[in-house]
Amino acid sequence: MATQWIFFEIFEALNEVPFYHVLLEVGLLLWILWLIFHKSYNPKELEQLTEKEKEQLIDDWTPEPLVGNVPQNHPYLKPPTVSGKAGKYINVDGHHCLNMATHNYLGFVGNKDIEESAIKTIQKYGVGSCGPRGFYGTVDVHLDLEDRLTEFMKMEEAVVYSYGFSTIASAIPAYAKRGDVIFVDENVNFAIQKGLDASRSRIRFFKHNDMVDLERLLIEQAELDKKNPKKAQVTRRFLIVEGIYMNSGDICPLPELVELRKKYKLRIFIDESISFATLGDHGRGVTEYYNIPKEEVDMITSSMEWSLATIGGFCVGSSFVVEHQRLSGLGYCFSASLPPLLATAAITSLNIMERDPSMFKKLQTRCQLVHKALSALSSFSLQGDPDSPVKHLYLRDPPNCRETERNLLSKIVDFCIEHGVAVVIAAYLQMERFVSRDSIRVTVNNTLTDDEISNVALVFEKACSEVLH
Amino acid sequence: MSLMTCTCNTIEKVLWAYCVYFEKNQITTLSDKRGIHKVTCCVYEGASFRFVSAMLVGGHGESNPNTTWLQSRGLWISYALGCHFVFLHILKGAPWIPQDQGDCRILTHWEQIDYGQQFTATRKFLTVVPIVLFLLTSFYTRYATSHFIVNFISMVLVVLPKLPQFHRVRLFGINKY
Repeated sequence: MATQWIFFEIFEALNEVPFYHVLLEVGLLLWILWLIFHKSYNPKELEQLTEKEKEQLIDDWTPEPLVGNVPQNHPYLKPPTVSGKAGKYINVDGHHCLNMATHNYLGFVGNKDIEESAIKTIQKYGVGSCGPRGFYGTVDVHLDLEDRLTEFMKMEEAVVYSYGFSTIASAIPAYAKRGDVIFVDENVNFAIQKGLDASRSRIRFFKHNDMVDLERLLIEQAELDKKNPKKAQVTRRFLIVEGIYMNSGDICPLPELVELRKKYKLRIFIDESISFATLGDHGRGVTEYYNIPKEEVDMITSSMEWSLATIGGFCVGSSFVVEHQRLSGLGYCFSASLPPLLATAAITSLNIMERDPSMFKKLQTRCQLVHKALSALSSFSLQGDPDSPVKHLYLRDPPNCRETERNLLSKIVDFCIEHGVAVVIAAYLQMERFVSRDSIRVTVNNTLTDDEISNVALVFEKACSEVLH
Repeated sequence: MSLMTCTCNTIEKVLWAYCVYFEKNQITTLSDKRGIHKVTCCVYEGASFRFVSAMLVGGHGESNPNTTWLQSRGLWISYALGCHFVFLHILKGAPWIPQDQGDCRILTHWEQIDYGQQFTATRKFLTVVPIVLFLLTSFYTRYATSHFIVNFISMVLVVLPKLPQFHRVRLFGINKY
């Protein structure tokens, strides 16, 4: 009975079909059939090359040699070889030299306490941690190190990476995505440049330490934002600077940057690889140097490979900001964690730093002495802040050709090495943006004595007179 | 997720109002609908919906409208197409942190399917189902004009953004960023 009734219902319903509806239904059914049989295509691949064009491109291509034509006297074919530890003294090509080439600002390389603690850790944990932080690679020393760094920098949370380069290169793309804007100084180091590339954001470079140029860019961006307020609401703006720039030795003008941050609503990330444990009364970096409260800076990154004499890097900041990297920091999630022995070495370095904060003052005095001594050189102009442990020497009368300048500098460096002072020419990769002029990079450490500093200046003078005249 | 639950609450209120209106004007000739209508349109129900319990119920004779509201004519298509529309064509991005550096932040779920490739099997399926639903419901509501108008509009609203010509198109700047 129920079945009959249902068929009757259906029959009745079909009788009541309005005409337009029949047309519509037929149209829709036809469209469904067309849809089912349509081929799928990718809208981006619509421009296909014809066979002829493909042949043309293949014919036009000439292979590049694996190794290009290189002159036989290219300096990279004879790299200087270091034997033994690169502590206060370094043995380069058999010459025993005072080390002003590698970065050892607090003199921790070769420190017995640090080495002993690292050896004890190897005996306890073995050599590697065997995994990334999220997958059985977290050892208690990692958590200890993060706590110690948090306490030392007086922040809320720290994240430790296993490689200094990938620290800042992972931190930037964790926060800045496509559609965001990043304002960066021109002279940032290569790790930051790679982080910027990975972030896929719009990058705006401003001239080195030039606040007027930065403000101009910020005003431009503010005008764009006014024209399109809905887009501006979803655009995040970042400002990335280094505490002390590796490529120039200058300190960033943090008070002005913080002003701009408040005015234009930016998020500041500071890469304090050189300024950590170098500036400030207790070694807390540019924020302590300029006496800026920690709420004004969004995140501080640093590599532990310079002052702390270990390997790795870390990011500190508020929990809200830094915690994000535990899942989004690609160098944190997808790389093996720091070997425990290096984490313990970092903890020991922090212990030494906290026990004896006078070493920072000592380092700053050394830096100022070196600055005075080197600025008196006749053939070199010195770039770098007096308090910075990294300084660059440029030739006062540069020859027109970059090659010649480089050759001269390399001869000066060879002379210095032969006379017991190890320095290097600052090396840049070909793919860096804004490559500056070649320079000799001098690093200061707090084990230098006054005599040694004056000796260094003398050796430079002699080198110049030999090579340049 | 909170944005999704907010929009779901609004949709529920709208659908509730719609079914109350249409229930009043229909003469129920099919006494036992439950035997015939299978649940064909539960494909799209993804999130859990919370009813706003502040309003007093019982105006239509049953103590708990939850038992019967989904049986209302036209409600299945409105409900299914409503949440289909919101989830596929209004909400942008993804509920997790995607590893694509923010590519999909401005794309709706529909535009993200198969990386923007058109006429793939998934897209064909999702385009055909609302049309089939429309044909079914217009049959079951006996081609009544009022139902037809609402069903047709909701079908068009759901099928139009699926056309390849509408890929990444935003009308009147709505939902652009």
